[in-house]
Amino acid sequence: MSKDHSLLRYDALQEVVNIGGGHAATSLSKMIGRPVDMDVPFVEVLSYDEVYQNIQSDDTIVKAVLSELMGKKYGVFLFVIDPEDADKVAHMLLPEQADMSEELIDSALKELSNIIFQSFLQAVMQLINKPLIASLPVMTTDLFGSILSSVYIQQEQFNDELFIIKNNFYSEGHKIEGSLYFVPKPQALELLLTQLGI
Amino acid sequence: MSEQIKVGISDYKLTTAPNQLVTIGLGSCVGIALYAPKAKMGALSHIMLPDSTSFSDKSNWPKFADLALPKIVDELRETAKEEKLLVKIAGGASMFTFSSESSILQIGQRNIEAVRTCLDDLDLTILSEHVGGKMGRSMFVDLDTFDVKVRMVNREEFVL
Repeated sequence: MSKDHSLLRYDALQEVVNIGGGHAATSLSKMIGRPVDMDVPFVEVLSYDEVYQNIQSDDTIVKAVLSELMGKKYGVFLFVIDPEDADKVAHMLLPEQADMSEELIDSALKELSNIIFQSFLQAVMQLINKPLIASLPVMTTDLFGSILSSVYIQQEQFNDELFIIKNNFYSEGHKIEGSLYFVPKPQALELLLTQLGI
Repeated sequence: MSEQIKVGISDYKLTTAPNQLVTIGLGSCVGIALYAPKAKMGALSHIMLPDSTSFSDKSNWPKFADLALPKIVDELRETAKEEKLLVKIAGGASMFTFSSESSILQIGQRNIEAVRTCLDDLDLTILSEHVGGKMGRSMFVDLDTFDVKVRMVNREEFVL
């Protein structure tokens, strides 16, 4: 493959993530009733060590919500958020609720993640003109290291280098942050780019 | 001076007391702590996959249970000049389970099985273990006592 062509593919992928993420940010903003900003999508190949040094340390406790694309060949969405930020978001979603159990916070977070995944997908579906369905979300609270490695392994990504595709969302300045990852199965990106005609 | 030596994913480290061996964030991966009690020397391995057979690139051998364990056990036996090693293991969780998946396919479970088989082939018995479930684990191996602390999020620490 020529260098120009691989650059084009990289740009196309980044644009897809940008469009999907933008769509998700808009839905998110409607849901919590305040503006949500997004960074330029992060699309890079990194080793586990680099991920833990540059993105998030492996011993950070996070809440993570996972949803799998049906059809078994695409991959999963993963939404990662600090537990304190999850608490803040839950209060925005349910303002009349003063005292919240962890169960209620988790349930709100799952619902919020579901909206993010669905609106991201909707944008991608319009681009490729093909239906895509995401499973009901599952969630856990654990160390970022345990979560990231398990999700990549589960998607049959066994390399020492990880293809990281990520959108960062912010609200209230940088007081609340969350990250949306797409973890592709091997060949999933090829498939997507072919469907885009690239 | 005691030093805490960190073992990353698909890696292993070998050292002697008073140093400690640590690995953070075992999800579906399995951590295997090996110990030569007379020399107070130990190794900690963090395997990612059960079996290297279907892989063409086997250069990163500490990633695979079937390649890592024989080599590391050999190295520890030779360096410590002790045949009889003690073993404790932790990990092999299924962090996220979708209802469509059967447990046979789950990598965590397959990792645990592979580690058990490999250790058995090397004539080693697992002294204690903390495996399976849905939670991630971190292992802290004390090479003076061979106490292995297993830490989890929102749970009591467990000592193997």
